[in-house]
Amino acid sequence: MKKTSSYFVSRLNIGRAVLAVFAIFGLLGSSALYVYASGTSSFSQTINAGTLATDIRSDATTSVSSPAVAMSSKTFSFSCLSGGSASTGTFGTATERIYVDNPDGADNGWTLTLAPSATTALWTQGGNTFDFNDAGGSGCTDGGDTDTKGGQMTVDPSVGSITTDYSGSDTTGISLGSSTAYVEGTTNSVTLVTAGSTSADVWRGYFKDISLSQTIPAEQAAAAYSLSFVLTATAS
Amino acid sequence: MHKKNYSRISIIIFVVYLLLGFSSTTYAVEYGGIGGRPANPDPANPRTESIFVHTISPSNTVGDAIRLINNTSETKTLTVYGVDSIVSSGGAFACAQKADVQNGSGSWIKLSKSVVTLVSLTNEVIPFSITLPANASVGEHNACIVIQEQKAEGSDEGKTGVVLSFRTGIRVAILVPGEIVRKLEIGEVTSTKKENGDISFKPKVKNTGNVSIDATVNIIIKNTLGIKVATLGGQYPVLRGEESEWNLDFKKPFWGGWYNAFYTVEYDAGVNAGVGTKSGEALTMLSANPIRIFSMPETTALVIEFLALVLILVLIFLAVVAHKRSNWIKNTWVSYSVAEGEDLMAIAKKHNVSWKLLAKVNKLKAPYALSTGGTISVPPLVDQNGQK
Repeated sequence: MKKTSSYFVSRLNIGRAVLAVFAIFGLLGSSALYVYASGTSSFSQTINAGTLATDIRSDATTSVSSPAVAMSSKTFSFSCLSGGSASTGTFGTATERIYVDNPDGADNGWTLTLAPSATTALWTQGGNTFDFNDAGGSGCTDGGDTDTKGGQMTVDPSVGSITTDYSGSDTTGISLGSSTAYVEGTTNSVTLVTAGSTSADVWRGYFKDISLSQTIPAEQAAAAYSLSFVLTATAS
Repeated sequence: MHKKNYSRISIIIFVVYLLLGFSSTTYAVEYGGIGGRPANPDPANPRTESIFVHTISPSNTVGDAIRLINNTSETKTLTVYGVDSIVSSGGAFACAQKADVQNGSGSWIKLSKSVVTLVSLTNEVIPFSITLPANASVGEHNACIVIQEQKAEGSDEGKTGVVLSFRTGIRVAILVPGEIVRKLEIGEVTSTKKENGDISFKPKVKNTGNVSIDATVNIIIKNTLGIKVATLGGQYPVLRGEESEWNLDFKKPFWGGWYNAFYTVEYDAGVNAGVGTKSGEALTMLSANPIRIFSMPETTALVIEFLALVLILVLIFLAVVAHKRSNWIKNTWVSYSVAEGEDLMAIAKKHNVSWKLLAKVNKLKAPYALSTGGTISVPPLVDQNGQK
């Protein structure tokens, strides 16, 4: 024993030994640790329960901290801006994707819906407002709803796209909604996506290119308007 | 001296070990979102793993709990609240907004906490109760428990356009016992062609009962030979008193052509069926009249199909020519005696026919020698006016 230790002490090239250890363990990689771990008699592991969730993520799948959809700017007009003249936007782009995660949290299907934060909400900037859910005059005039503003927004998910982001899953049972205009009291929420029970229990994917169109009443004051919308994923 | 060296070696080995330990293969932690799920699912009803399902009589209270989950990489402060269910476009299930007046079944839900802070990758169980009013009508009532991240005050200030928030809702299906009616009526199915050539089917079904029904909605596409090429659809909840519709896309078929679309709806009409439970009775099947659709082939398919069509036409043409020739030979050709010095070419020229045809009909082989006085079959002689 003494001989061996004295051999190491007197002959061992420590620098080379270090390099050799690095080389051997480097080659074996993490398996060396697993071999070490095999000496442990019990393991414990926790996999946290998943939950259905929705979010806007970048093409690098990181959450976008302050997502917003810019509508096309319009110039003050004495006429109502509707149809092809309406302000438009695209919800879900290559860099701001509408993600849904279903890690076995909604086995019998789910819906993804878009609605303003209140049915009585308005596009607002300071004291200037106009409506998003007034069907009066095809959105150009104030109709029979609770406010005195015109304006109507249409969401068309059917022109969008569905992409899976999880190996082994597909788009079976997942369908995009139809083009729909908000009407206060009648259509307060627009279905972007419906996933039936035949959709995968474990699914992750994203949606893009959902068309938005907002009719702007005549003589609407020039301003930078905003309106809060809520994207809801619901286990149904 | 020896002790010093031992210490050095030990330190070096320890450092190497640490380095190896930290440089081993590592896997990134995958984060999810914020949300929740039922904390006490009923083993007899798998549906309760995803949504809340309760049978409650008027004036009664039932307790349950929701597990709030933060699977993100950050600490989150969540608000949790009950709201009415609403019908979204297409008859889909959706949750009302918190700011809207809750005068339906959302107001029956009372949560023990409304704000919860969860550090990353943790969860917390929040008890709640559902108390039905005395006048709650028989049938199914739906509400939602919604989980939403609490936004910092003023975080949306200065933003223009559509400003977004996100939330996760869980359906709360409450059945008030009594005379249950489970009935669906099949509606029409329409088809529209999308810009990319896909065909979108929109089937409709109406729930005329007083409970929601999980309906299996199928569009079966068959080609003109009656072979099934696709089945679209799935099982979706159809809410009480509502008409639901879905957009089911049929990917543009490469070969194009005519197809028949058969729309069927299947559901459990037994009164003992519920959300996530079956009655055990045979399912009721509804079907609509099939619709016929046409899809243009892809360009490549079109070229292949055109070439195939030309090939078929040429083959038909050749078959017709062969048939006519056969009749011509059988009905009009006559026996001809070969004169001295005549060969096959000369006879063919004289009778205005291909020498090869003459050789074939008379089963002559190269070098096609004819003996004087021998007989062969030939077409009748025709003069300049076409007279025989």
